[in-house]
Amino acid sequence: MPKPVKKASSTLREERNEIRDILKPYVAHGIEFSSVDGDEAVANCPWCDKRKFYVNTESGKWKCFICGKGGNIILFLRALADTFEGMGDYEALATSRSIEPDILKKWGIFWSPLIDKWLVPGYTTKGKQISQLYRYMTINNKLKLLPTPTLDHQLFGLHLYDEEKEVVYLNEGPWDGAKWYEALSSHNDTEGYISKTENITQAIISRVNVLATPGANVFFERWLPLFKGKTVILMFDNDHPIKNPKTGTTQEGAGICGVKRIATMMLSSSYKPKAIMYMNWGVAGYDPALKSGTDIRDVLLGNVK
Amino acid sequence: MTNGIKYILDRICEVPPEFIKINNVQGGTDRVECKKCQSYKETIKAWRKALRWTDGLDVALSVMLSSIVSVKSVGDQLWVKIMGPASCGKSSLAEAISISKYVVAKSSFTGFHSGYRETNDEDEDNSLLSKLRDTTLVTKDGDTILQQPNLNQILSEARDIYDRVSRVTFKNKAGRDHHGLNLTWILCGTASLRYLDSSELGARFLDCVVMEGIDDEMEDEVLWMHANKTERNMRLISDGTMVSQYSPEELHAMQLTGGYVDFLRENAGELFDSVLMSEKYLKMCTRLGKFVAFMRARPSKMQQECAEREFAARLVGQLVRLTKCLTVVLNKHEVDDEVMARVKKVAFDTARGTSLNILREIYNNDKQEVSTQAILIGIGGEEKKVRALLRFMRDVGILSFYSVKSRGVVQKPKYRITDKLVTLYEQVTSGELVNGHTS
Repeated sequence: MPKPVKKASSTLREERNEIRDILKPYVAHGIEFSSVDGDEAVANCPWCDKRKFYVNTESGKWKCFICGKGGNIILFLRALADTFEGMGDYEALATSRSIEPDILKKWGIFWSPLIDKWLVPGYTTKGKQISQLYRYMTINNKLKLLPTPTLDHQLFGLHLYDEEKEVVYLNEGPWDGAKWYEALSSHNDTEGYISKTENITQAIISRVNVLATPGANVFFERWLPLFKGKTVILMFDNDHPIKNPKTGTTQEGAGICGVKRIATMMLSSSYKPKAIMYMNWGVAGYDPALKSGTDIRDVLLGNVK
Repeated sequence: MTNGIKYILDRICEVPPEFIKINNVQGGTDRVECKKCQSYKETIKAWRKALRWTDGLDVALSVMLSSIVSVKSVGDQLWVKIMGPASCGKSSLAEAISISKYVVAKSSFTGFHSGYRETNDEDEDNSLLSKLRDTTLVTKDGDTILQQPNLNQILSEARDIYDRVSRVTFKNKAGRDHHGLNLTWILCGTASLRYLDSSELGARFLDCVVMEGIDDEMEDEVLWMHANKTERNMRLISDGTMVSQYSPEELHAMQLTGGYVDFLRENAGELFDSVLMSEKYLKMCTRLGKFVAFMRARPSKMQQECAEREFAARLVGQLVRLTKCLTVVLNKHEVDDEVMARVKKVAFDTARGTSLNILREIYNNDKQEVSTQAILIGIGGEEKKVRALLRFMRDVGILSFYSVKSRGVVQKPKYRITDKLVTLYEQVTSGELVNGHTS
């Protein structure tokens, strides 16, 4: 009986001229696979830099046979976060985003030298651990947050969530969330009078949670239990209505659509919040006097007159 | 920034009602809303208007509610089988309790651990078991489980779960351990369900029979009611939602039942604290437990030499638990005869079977000796199996067997009940429950 022919090694792109889905999350974080040998893709290990980093193309699991690290893609992301935590020029990012460096660190944001990009972690509701890393990068001349491919969207700021607190602010995007968090950490609200404070235990943040979704149209049922019995305040952007170019009909802005959708989901579920409130920019859910896309950060930075 | 915060806080207001659009979704996701209810009597009153309400249904509902309220308390779990002929109303009760968020309804499943996603350390667990923690699983048509090809696997997983611990290892060496599982199971179906828990590893379920056979007169009454209801409902159009599938009376009864389930689960700790149980009723539970242990013992299918029955500790624990839970469900603060009557009914339903029929056959013969032939005539059944059971009942101490010489001739051997079983039977049947009421 003839021996089976060993499958020749090949580069990723030679084989099918595309990156396999199962390897995409690794490639997105800077892993360069030099070959695919049978059912294993091989690359240099981001930790020990030896070419013994293997990813099984069936299961998606990785292992380095030199440093011994291994696991699935989620563990890979967590290992990156553990290794590169606190790395990066936070002053530069703080200037760019107008958010204090300490707050950026508190929200888990870190620099990845593998791809020279800032990474923003998203957390799963179970155990509040990192299950997604968003890459802050330029796409079509615009800076955007791109999720790690093939993985679910997650909430930002969830690792700071305290179940004892009755109020939850839900912002649109981590930058808004972090800026709102910064504002509430440095101010107190005494009988409606807002004042600055250096004492975090007296600041508004000691009584409220601040979370952020990846976008106004991104919200999942698996997040609903977080809001059960809470006062939820939706803080989405001032998006103007847009005209559908194909049909000519006018559609509501994404921000107000998001508010309606999430409020409906929450009230239809068995995890009903105590109350749902929202940032009401104006009649019909937006203020035409403010630019479309004006957000909480713009208001806090004084860009809104 | 201070001005910015003020600007924002000044604009925060409640989401107006017109923002909320609750769609009626077909299939799977629309739910009937529960109505607030804190009284068992109020629930029953609503059911009397919705169905031809019988004492059997009353006991069955109270037992189902007891299973639900017992989920988080310490001790042997209350798993119950609700049995009755088709169309006797047990599915209606199962649907009603399922509308509560504390109850998960599953018509069929391939295993408690299926749905698990392959990881070693990822905290996502898609198994059915992870969704059932601290809830009650209700299967309204348990007969479908009997058709599962991996029935034995499901039952052995269930037996583990009953003990509040479940461990599984998959062929990819991934595994998952579950500890401290609080989960009760209500299984509804026909008498075929008796086969389900008759393993040699010990039974976990208590049984409750809704209806023993079909009463002709009652059936005629129900058929007339049902014919009229169907004729009326044919004039209405269903829009595919759960709500429009039921008559207003049924819907109201279901909503109150769901609300009552929520009330019981949310206040279980407080309600149990105030329940008093006297020694008299505690002793009755021990007698009932022991009696049921004798009655549901069966000859081993695998070992010819071994004849033993279960030790009654678990049964006693279950019956005491059931007693206290029923007291809470019936809005009482103390165990009384009405509660005990229901517990006895459940105990006798659990004990139901050929052994009990034999015992009654001999007992009703003035407790005198009865021959094997007479027993066979009295209870029917396959001769070989009955003879094997009689021998087994002798071996475990329910019956004794001897032959008498009369005028020098050895008579045919006869059976009689042992003294200890006579005493036990008389203790448990004093004030025997008949159709839900003490006779």
